[in-house]
Parts: sequence; C-alpha cells; structure tokens
Amino acid sequence: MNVEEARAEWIRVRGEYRGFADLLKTRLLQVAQELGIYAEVSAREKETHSLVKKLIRKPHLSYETLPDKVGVRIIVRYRSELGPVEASVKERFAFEKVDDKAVALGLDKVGYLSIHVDGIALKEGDPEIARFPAKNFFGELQIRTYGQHLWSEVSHDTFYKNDELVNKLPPDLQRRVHLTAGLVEVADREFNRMNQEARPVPAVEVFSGLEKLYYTVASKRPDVELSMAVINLILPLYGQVSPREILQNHIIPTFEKRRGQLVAIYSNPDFDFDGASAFFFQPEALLILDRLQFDRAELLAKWNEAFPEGELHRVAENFGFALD
Amino acid sequence: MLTNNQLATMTLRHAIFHDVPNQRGDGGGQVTLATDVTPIDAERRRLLRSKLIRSLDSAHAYGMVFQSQPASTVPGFVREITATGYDKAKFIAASQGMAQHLFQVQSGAVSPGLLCVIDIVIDNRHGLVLMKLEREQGAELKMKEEGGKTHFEMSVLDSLVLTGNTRLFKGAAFLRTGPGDDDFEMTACDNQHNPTDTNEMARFWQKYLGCDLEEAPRVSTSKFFNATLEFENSQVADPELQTVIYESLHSELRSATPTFSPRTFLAEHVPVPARHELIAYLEGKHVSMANFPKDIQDIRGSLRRLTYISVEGVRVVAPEGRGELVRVEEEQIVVNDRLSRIGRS
Repeated sequence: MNVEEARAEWIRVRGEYRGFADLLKTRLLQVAQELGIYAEVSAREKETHSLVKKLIRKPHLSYETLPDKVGVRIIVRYRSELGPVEASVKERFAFEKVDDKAVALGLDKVGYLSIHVDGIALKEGDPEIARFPAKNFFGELQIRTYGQHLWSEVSHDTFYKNDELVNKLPPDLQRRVHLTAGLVEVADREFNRMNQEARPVPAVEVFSGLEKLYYTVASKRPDVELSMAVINLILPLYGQVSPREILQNHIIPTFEKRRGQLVAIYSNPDFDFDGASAFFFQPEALLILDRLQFDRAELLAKWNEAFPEGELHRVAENFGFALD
Repeated sequence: MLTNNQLATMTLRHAIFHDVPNQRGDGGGQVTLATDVTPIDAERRRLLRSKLIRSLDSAHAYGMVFQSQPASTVPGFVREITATGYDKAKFIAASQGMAQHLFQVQSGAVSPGLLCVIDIVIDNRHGLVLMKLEREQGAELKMKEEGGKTHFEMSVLDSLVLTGNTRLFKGAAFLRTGPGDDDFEMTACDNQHNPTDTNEMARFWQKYLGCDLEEAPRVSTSKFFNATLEFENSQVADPELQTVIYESLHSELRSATPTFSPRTFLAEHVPVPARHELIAYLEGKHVSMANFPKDIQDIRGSLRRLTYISVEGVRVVAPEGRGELVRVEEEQIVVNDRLSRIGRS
C-alpha cells in the first residue's frame, strides 16, 4: 500500500480506531481505579497528516505495521505507581513487547524515560474482541510519571529530543541538556520519597488511606489543602487512636460495606452533581461518611467550628443522610 | 424502609401537582387536577431531592408495609405504576386518582394543600414518592395551559417546598423490589405527628397511604433493649461503663417520652469507642437506628425492679418477679446470686 492508498484507507477506517482508542481509555481508567491511584489517561487515533508524515519519515514501516495508529498514555504521580500499572496492563491486555526506556539508557545516562507497551490489543475472550480483533486493532501505550512527562513534552519538539540530535550540539550545551534531564529525574524520585516519608504525620497517613479508597470510586482530583483541614478537624472525634486503627477499624469497613453504592453514587451519569458539596469530590468525604454513620451530632458540632453548615448538609445528602 | 444508600442514588424523573382542598360541610370545594407533569429544572430538582432526603431520613421517618385489606386506593395505584417502566398517561391518571382519594378522606381538620406525585428511580428500580404540601394562605399557585393540557408552574415548588417554612409536610416513598404485590421498600414521614399516636389526625397519613408500621413498636422496643443488654454483658469489660449503659437504658425506656431515639441514647450515654462498637453490634443484630415509638409491653417485667433499702442505706435492686434472688431476714439481707460487677454512681 503506497502512501496515497494508506491515506485513503485511514480516512475510511479512522472512526473505528477512534472507538478502539476510547475503549482502551475506559479500560485503563478502570486499571487506575482498581489500583486506587490517580492517573490521567488519554487516547487518540492518529490524525491523517500525522500518519502520512510517519510513513514518509520511516519507510521501513508500512500502513499495516505502523505501531501507533492508536496512541494511549497513562500518567501517574509517583514512580512507585509505575510498576503496579505495568503489571496490571500486562495481565489484562495482549501485547507484543514492553520497552522500559530506563533499561536502554543504562546506569550512566539520563534522558527520556517511559514504559512503552508496544502492540497493546484486546485479549482473546474479551467481550469486545469481535469488534476490535487484535490482528488489526493494536496501539502503543506509554506509562510514565508527571516528571517523565514534563521532560518528554518539553523535549518533544526541540533539538534535545534524542541522543542523535543532542550529539550535534556544542559540548557545553550537550552537558546542560544532560544536567537538566538529570534534574528532572532527581525531582521525580524526590517526589516519590517525600510522598512516602510524609506518611508518619497522622493527617497525611489518614489522607493517603482515604485517597486510595477514593480513587477506586471517583476520578476527580481533590483540593489537598482542604482535605488536610477537614481531616485535622475530624480526627479528634475518633479519640486517642492511631491513623492505622482509624482506617482499619472505621473508615475501611464503612467504605467496603457501601463500595458498590459509592461507585454508583460517584459515577451515575443520571445523577446531577452540579449541586454537590465542595467536600464531596474529596477523599475526606469518606471520613465524613463514616462519621455520618456513627456520630452525626458530634460531627455537626465539630464541623461548625470551621466550615459552613450548609456544606455538611449537602455532602450528607449526597450520601443519602439527613442531618436534622 | 429505604436505606441511606438507596436515598443517595435516588433520581427524580417526573413530577405532577394537584391542588387538594378540604371537604367542606356544604359540599363545596373542588380538587384542581393537573393533566400534565410539571417541567422541573435541574436546580429545583436538586433542591427537591435534598428536601426529600431530609424528610425520609429524618427522625420522623418510619418504615411501612401495605395493609392487607386497605380502604385506601393508594396501594393499588402504587403497585400499578411501578409494575412497569414509566408510562406518562398511566402516571398522570394514577396521580389524579390518588389526589381524588385524598380529597375524599381529607376532612376539615386536616390542612389543605398540594399533593405532589414524583416518579423516581433508585438503582434501576422503579418507585414513587408522594408529598403532601401544606398550602400557605395566600400562596399564589399558577396553573399553565399548553396544548390543551394543564400543569402547575415550576414556581409552585418555590412557594411550597423550597423556601420558607417547608419542614411541615407529609411524605412517603415506595420502591419496587420485585414483581409481587408486597415487594416494596417503603418509608413515610409526617413531620407533625408521631407514627404511633392513635388519634385520627395522627393516623390520617398512614390511613391515606393504606399502610401500617413495618415493625410494631413493641418489637422495636424489645429488640433494642435486648440487643443493648446483650452487648453490655458480652462486650463491655469496664464495670463502670456496664452500669452506665444498664442504668441509662432502663431509665430512658421507663421515662414518659413517647419516642425513643437510639442515636440520642448512644450520643448521651455511651462514650466513644464503645459507642461505635455498640452501633456495629446493633447493626449486626438488625436493630434499626431509626427512632421508634416506645412500647414496653414485651419487656415490662425486665424493666420493673424492686429496691430493698437497708437501715444503713445499702440498696439492693432486683428484677420484679425474681423473689428467689433476695431473701430478707431479721438481721441481714441475703442475695442469692454471684457478683457480676461493681458499679459506681
């Protein structure tokens, strides 16, 4: 198939590949939700001009073998979340190979980092396999952190995109490119470590536990500052117990008992959340839910010390509780 | 009785209003029936839903079951409408039928008002909500005519439900859970009356709905009493706390207050963390945390106690009818029992 034929064919079938991209996006959001992590997932079928450009630039590829007719990306916050996402993807999808760019860089180089899953497709037995057979419908998945994404995005359209281009720069500029790539990687690692080291602070530990549960039922990003204010206000209601005990003995059992309904509450498209409380799409909503179940009066009294009463009424109603 | 989870996922789909005055002695008074549903915008829908949750999960809410042979036509209409998916013509006709029935039973002593019938869905199940809204004197209710059909304007909600003194209304929610005539979860609330009051005014709403209380008050009372005592005996190690729970439970159940609120009892008498444990224990025993009207007929014997007071002020309290536990002799009082705990008061 020559370039012109490829262009015509792509225009004809592009809509089907859009459907495949949408399906991959939905499935990857489910992966993140099941792992209880926040992730930004995007998926798109290649634009026609982009497909043609690639076929011209890489003559060894054909229309049929072009690996990224569909491109999918999942971006997580912390490096420690990359492994679980990769493992879950390998378990749920068919794929050709996994290419961890860190391995190629080796120990003494810095630069573009991501995990690429080439030839990602639906597995045999998937309910959608007849619509999207793996022979024709496959794509390229990139799994990366925000730090890695920063480097990738900034370098993408510039001369320091890859070693080949960097090597043509003056030596001092080459060195500055490497130093900057190293800085970005150090920052990425530091974010991961700081996230783990911050947990001994009780409110942060409770927030981390709540966040993990929250992302299994919701996908909107919370306001962390507000979260900490609410958690610090409500924690004393549990008495002198550790964050771990609060999570294990109170929040998790309350959550698990209502998990199915919470998924419905947070994702029902018929449900109008325009009037949802500002505290509803926040991990600490699950803490509020636990107190609504067990200590409504004390919760209300405590709440009124810091926040508008109307907001607690709203979040209570979002969960089907009346405070009166 | 509808759960919090069910209320949380309740979606209001269609609503219709009918103006229902009182029956007058002179035979005057006319029901004003709408012939079409009232369109409701998103914000009013949210506010209406919020009001409903505040009522159906309030301390005035109670579980119900249909009467086996109700004089009311409401159960029949509810069964018919919810048996299938939403059918606009059926919905409007049934709501008119329920308004007509309300007019027939609404005597001069009962406040006139609007009957609002709402088609709802919870977890893909079909249901119905009835609200009787008191009509404030002078409130202007605008009827709109469109294409030969009439409906009350959405502003009716502003004047009757969403602003001002809107706590006073009667409501009921019916959620179909299966194909049978009695496969329903039902909750009613009457902000003006206690569900177990026996006077006509108090019984009016239940009679209109053709329903009885889901659990007899004597059953709710004894279930809460027995489960709390079991918890106190088996789960509480601290003798002082055991005494507090035991004494306060007896005291609250013997008081003259007609309604018992488990939540208030727990908040006032059981400290954290025992309170959380007791709530979980009660839940495990299927004891509702909803308020219930007190009826101690099944536990009367357990609540009655005889107190023996010695010359020096020692008090021995024993359940009435268990004379074998305490023997009074000339020089001493003998308790024929083993020590379980020592309380301090």
